[in-house]
Amino acid sequence: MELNLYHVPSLYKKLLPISIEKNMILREVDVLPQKVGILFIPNDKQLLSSISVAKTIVVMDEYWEQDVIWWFHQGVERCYMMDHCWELALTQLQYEEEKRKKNAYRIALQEKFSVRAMKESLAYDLIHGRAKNIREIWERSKLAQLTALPNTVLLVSIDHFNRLAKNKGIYWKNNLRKEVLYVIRAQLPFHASLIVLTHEHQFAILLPLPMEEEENSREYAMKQAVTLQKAIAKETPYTVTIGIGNRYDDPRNIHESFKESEYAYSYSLFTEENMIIHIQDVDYYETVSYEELNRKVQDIISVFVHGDMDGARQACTALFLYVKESKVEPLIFRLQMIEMLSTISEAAIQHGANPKQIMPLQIKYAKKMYEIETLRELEEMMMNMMTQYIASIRETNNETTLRSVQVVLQYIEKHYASDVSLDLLADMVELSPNYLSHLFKQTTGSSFVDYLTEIRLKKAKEMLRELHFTIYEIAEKVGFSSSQYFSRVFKQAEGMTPTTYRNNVLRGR
Amino acid sequence: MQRAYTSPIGNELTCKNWEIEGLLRLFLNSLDPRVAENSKDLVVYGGEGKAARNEEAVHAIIQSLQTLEEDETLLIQSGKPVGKFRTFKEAPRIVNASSILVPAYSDDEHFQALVQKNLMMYGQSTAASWAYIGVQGILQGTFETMGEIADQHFHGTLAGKIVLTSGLGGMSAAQPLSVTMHGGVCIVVEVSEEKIDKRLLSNYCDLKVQTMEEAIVLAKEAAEARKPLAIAVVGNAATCYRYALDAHFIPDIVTDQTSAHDVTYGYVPSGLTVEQTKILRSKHKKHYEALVKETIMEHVEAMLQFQKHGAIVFEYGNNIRQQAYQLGVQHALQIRGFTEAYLRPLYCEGRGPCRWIALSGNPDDIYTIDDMILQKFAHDERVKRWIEFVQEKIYFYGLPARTCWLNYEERKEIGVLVNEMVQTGELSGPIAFTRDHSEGSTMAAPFRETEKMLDGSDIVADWPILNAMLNTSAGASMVSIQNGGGMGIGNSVHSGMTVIADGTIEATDRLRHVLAVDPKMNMIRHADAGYKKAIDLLEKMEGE
Repeated sequence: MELNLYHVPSLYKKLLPISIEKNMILREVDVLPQKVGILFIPNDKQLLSSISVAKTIVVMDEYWEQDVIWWFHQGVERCYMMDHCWELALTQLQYEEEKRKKNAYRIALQEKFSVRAMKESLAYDLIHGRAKNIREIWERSKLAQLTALPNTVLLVSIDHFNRLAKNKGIYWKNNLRKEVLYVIRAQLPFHASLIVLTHEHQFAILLPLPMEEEENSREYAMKQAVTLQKAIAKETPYTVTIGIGNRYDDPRNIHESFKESEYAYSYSLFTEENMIIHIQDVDYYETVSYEELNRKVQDIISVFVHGDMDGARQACTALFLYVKESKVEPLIFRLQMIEMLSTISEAAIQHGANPKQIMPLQIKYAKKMYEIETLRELEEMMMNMMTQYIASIRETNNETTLRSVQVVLQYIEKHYASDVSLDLLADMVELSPNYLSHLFKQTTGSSFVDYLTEIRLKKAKEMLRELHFTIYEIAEKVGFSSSQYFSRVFKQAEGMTPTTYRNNVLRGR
Repeated sequence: MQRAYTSPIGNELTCKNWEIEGLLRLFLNSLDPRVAENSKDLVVYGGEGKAARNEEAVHAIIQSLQTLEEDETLLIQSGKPVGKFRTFKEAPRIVNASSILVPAYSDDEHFQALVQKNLMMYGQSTAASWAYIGVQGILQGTFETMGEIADQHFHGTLAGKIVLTSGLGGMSAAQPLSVTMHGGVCIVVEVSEEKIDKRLLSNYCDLKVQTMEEAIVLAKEAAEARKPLAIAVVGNAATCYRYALDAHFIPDIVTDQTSAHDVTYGYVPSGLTVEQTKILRSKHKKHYEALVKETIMEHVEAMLQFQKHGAIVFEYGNNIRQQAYQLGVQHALQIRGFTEAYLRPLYCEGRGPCRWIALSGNPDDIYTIDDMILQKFAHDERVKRWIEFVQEKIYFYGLPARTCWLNYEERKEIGVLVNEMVQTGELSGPIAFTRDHSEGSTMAAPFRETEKMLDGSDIVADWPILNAMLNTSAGASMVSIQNGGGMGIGNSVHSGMTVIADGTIEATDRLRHVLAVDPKMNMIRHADAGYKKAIDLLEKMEGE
């Protein structure tokens, strides 16, 4: 900015003293410039339409109080009498201007950051409920160049920030945030918004939403959020989810709006990305049966500890289905998941998994648990975690599990004629029926039922060849519940009835 | 959905001049949902206190003001504009009468019948005179009362003293804050936990406890450390007062601001929750009323016991003494009323509830006037304490406004000073000067403002009428006379006034006259009734 003495149309030239013309840059202009350092003009009210009064000094050849008041009302910087003191004042102004030029960089920084710092400190004090003095808040809002006090908080979170920022440096993260921030700033009037970073991926925006009808405050906030969201989606490759708090006219209570926006945002766990959630849309006071939630978590644990991955998967699906349908608080659910993680880790170790493998896994998943944004991701993570845990258990327990199958095989060999069930055997070897069934098939290559039937039929054929027993007796001795059933199974396996089989054997003899 | 009424802000006129524009802005401001208790039904405050009779009247008032000429006067009858007359530029732009009935018929029954026929509306006090500014107005009345108690009994401070009171509704919520403003400790009993939570949020109370036992321990600790503290107790006032007595706990000051004036819908009997009360009231009204009576008796008897044990006990205008007396509590009337005990000495010196509203909507204007007052009236400690406190605590809902109890000299000066500030551009727009209806001269109310007057003139209602006529003659911009106020139909006659400081020379004259005659009449009213302080001050003024 230059300190110029602009010469107004020649009509006024005579008003300006020669000495000033010598000291200053004198420019002949017909139309007065709008943006100059300081503009000296004569006392002519008609000139007002063509000048910017903010940096103007009016020179008067006569002192009229009414004129001075009038010019001050228009916002002029100073009024001087032409005769004596204004030359001195001008020298002073020149000196100040010189000084200003020398410190231009510092002043530019000061200008840039003082308002920004004012805005940020006010925003932080408001959202954390630290600002309590109303006049102080008002004065600070003026220093922050706000035209109105904020009443509502919008919490803007960049979707999948952790995934996007994985393995990236701090500047990269900053730039990502900046991209979003530029769009937000462009959408909101500088003098009517406060924007601060509240988390690595989150901005709190404090806005003065208009007041027409109490009921409309939600609609206004939603409308503003939609505009922001669309602009961000259009101008950047990212999407955002926005949580919105209620409107609080008294700025001292805006911390409530902030808390509500955070709470509303926590419900994004149950949605996809790019969502807007207003606090009035989440069931704030809804009571949920946490007993049911606990029961479902216990179901997973109890199946898991028996190494039954299929059962655990089913129980896990049931849990997430329940969470989706019920009104579980996201925060409580996250805590419950962390607790479950710790219980499952403990159970895995108790069931033979190697603690050295499990502990790092537990830490890794606990960290992930805080970063996860959607229920779908959480479900996927839980499944992966359980698969990894079970693999670890199996790896360490390989010998033990083989022994279990061996015991089962021996038992079947001895007791095929009695009522042998999978539940009974699983109980005997302390594994879940499903898991035993899985292990059995993995080890023997056939299912438990097929294997048992095969053994029984093998014994039955021996007896059919011996001729000591009737078909009815053989069925009973090898463990079939009736001769009809025995005949049906036999025919299915051998392609002929037991009687035909015996006759063929006899004929062969 | 109907758009909410809000006052325009800024400097653009929608009426012929600022005097009329100012009145229009005050009208719309009193209907602003952030200011009015129930904007949709045009209820500004105090049960049914309205600013206009109905929607039709609202539109008619807006239209009448927007077309009113600078030398015309608009007539408003119970919230409905009924005519315009050419008068003088110096005459009021609005004259207004609300809820006034012929004395022999001045009761609720006749009044309600007329309301049903859409012929009248209840104007409360500042509702019909468009001078309502929300909780700040109420706050300072309570602040002044507590200040006067401190002056009369405790050397000017409540530090180390404990006040026991009850009620955290729209009016009563000012109590805990007023006590802590003077350095004291307040235990306030409130039956509705929801109301307590609301007051905690707005910083009127510091903490909530569930039992009187906890409250007493905390109050004693704070008083001993001379730290201000406002404790809200969830409970019934009568029960908690009785508990304190049984625990031999005698506070320094005891009062009460439950809704005892409204035994049909306001008061909650001992042992019941708010919800239970609602059910009982609708299904077993007689049983409910019997319980209310029993509780009121118990409540006042406890207050009398506190008084007997040395506490300063007074009633805060909710008529509980009278109710208890009628129910048979013989000594109930030995409890003093707050106006008679603590506010009348202030009225005698012309001190009263002055208020001003920034018509531009710019809070800066109010803060600039605050700064001017702190400088010009620096000698007035009470004003200084109030301004500093209220600047910190009160958020402006609607048009920014300030209420401040000023004495005669200060009131006489302030209008002219502010008008000059408007003229020089120090303020961003004109200012409206108005006041509450609560001085002996502006409100004749034998159960409150004019209770136990020295000369027995409690029921003389000439004064508020004279006040209205005098303000009209002095050039007020709006003058109103009303019936009922906070005491109910037939129990009071009162008057309001407003002057707009628009920076003109004419406004200087209006302000100089109105803001002198209005408080001086208050002094004359009290001098006439025999109050020495008022007599002495008037004599001194004449001598000067």
